[in-house]
Amino acid sequence: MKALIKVGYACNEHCTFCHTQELREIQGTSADVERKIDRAKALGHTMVVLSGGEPTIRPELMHWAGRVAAAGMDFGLVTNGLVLAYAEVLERLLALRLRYVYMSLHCGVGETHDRMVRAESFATALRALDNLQGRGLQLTVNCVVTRANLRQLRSLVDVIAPRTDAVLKFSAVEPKGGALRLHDLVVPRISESAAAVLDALTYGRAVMPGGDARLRHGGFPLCLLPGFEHSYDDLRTHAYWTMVETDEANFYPVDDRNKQHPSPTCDDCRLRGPCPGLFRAYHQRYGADELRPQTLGVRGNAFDWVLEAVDDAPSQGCPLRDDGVTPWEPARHLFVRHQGRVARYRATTRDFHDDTLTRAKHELGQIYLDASRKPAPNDFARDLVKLSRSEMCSPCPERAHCTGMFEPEFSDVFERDDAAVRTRLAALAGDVLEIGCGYGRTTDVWRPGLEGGTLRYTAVDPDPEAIAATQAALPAATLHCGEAELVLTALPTGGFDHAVALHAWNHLGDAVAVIDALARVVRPGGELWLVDDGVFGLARTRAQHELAQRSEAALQHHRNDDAGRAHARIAGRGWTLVERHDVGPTTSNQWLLRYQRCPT
Amino acid sequence: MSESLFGMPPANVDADIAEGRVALTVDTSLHSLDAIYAAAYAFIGRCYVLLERPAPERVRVVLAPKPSGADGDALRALIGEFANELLSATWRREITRSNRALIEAVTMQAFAGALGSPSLDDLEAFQFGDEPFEDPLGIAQSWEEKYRKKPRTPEEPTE
Amino acid sequence: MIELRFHRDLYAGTAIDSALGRFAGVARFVRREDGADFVVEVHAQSPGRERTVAGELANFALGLTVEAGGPDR
Repeated sequence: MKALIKVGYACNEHCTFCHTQELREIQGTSADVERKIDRAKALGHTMVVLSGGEPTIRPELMHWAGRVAAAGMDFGLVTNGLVLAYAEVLERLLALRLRYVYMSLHCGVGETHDRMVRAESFATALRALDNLQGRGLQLTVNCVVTRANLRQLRSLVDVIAPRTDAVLKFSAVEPKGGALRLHDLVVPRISESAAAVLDALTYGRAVMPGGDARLRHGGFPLCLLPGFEHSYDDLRTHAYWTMVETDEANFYPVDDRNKQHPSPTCDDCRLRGPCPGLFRAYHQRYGADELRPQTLGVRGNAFDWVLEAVDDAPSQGCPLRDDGVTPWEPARHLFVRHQGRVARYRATTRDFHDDTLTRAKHELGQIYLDASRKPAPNDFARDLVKLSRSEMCSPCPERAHCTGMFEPEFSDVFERDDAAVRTRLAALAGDVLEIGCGYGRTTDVWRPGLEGGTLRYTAVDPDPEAIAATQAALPAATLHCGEAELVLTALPTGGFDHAVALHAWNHLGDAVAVIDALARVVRPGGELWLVDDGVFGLARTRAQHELAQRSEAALQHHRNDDAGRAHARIAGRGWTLVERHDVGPTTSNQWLLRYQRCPT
Repeated sequence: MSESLFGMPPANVDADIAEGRVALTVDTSLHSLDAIYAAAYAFIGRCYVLLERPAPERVRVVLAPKPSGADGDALRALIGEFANELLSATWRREITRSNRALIEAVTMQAFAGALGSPSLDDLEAFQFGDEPFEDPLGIAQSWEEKYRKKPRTPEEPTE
Repeated sequence: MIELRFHRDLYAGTAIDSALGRFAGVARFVRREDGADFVVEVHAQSPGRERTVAGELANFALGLTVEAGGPDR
């Protein structure tokens, strides 16, 4: 795992788009960099990567590389690579465990590259690339896409194609520093640059040995790069944990706070998790009209924090506060204290964005320790132990920005919340329609009413086996196999007193169409019950995590609505909200909405 | 009023001493536009700089010192300094384009020493220590050291 | 009034526009095009101020053009 240390912002190039252009006079001291290398080791990193500015122009380069190697870590560089044109320099760095090079090259046309970096460096950069070839390095060539090189990206594919160790990455320019100052001259519209990148990637796929495996992109909304959604590349895909700017005292987690997923445009997009979204400064200027959100398609509703380490808990004080809270990611790290030990977990999932993880963990308290040995827990009451923020965090001044200490809470929130809903449903009478009955999950709720003659039960489910199982359990039920939005068109208008969707809402392909169809088949004054699950996270051992990864369980969610998002879709469609229960720190991940059909 | 400056070729250099301006007309077949830009950029901290296009192969660089009232001597010194900067920018550009092979040969000699390729004994004795590396091509110079005299940027009027 | 002529071969039009935007509050400008030139008239309260504003405007346009890598292509 990598730590990124910015040693200062001076550079031997002067890129038009440089996002630290105003900071070029700032240089870190050698002692400061040494201290940060030592700190990276103490935090458990396995590689230190130096960046800037341009780290290779510092006379202490060899000294720092030596210190990293002496600490038993690998060494890496984020660089324009020019100094690596000296074969002797590269040899010395390789001997000091240089294993990773992230190098800038912005065009295959030398004049354009030189103009972008305001220096005559293209030929030197190519010489460096040739030196780097065949040395077993993790080598990425990064091209920042601006107005200057937009129409010449294929030329870079041609240059990199024969240098088979290199992965070629196209990066969107961030409107910051030089690129903000020269905005109209440097920053292209994102749809225009994405189209150019898509063309270059497609070309690269055809002509580069290794094809897709050597092609990446960063900073572009994934919806604008169809066919290359999985080729995204960022600090996290490069296994960076933390970074520290020159003027910062301690490490901070890498994050995407300079970007955003504009709402409501991106709210339902299935690509949101790994997608960088738009740079905030870009969105502020141009809005989100260029985005093409992918709202169709299935997704998960849970993620894993995977166990990394277990240590003895100190007898007094907090290990996080005592050592400094900043290196730990508020959402992606998880510390659990129990019986004198502290376990550290980390979530690497890209199925969800940081904002979703933060909300699940810190706002809604939807964190559970997986006590089962199953690929996917299916009996939450028995399989999962709720984790809650430790009391020790309450008075702590660092609480708001700390990842927090959590402890098991041995209360069965799942059984409690589930029982409350079941009890109320069992009291329903008249004509009940269930959307998504599943494999007899609710048969015991309906059976007394059916057998007592107070209830007529109709259910819809797309799975023939689920229909068969329910029919076997409830012979008096009327069952329809098919997608709800289609089946409902054949049911009688005003034929039902109650419609119920238990854990089905987020599985519906077109939920709004189902709501509108239900408005027709439910009598005025009749009720609609929606109960579903929100996103939650599981603390798991690596073995549990890998078992789950190997599982063939298919993703089934078409969205991950909470009560608020679901209500926003339903509001104004002929239903009056009469009851709402949101997910919160003291509840399970189950929410409830109850509506009454408006009089027609 | 345009006039020639003592000691300067009148075909290339002209001045308007009353207005505090001096100009150098540059042949772009000898000096590239990039070199002219680089030189001009280095002067915008202390002069007002305007580029003109008197003919297709010519760029006229007009310099006016920001504090007005420069006399003929000051303008002559200024345009001389600019001409030197332009030559330097052109040289920097050309040296890396035209003489790369020569530079590489010289560099390799510097690396290998005068005795040719290193022997196995030499390699064994080689210390992968943490001393700074040699930089014969000036690659590791900061951009400011290499390309700019004064790290200044265009400023708002302060009058 | 001072008239500045920026030749298209030497200046980026977007750089001139950015420069005009930057100095919009300190003088009045009239921008037009004349053949290969972008022409900017600078109107300020005094000849001294016109000289300063015109000079800084030209510098700014040149600086942006250089930093952007040259004129529009």
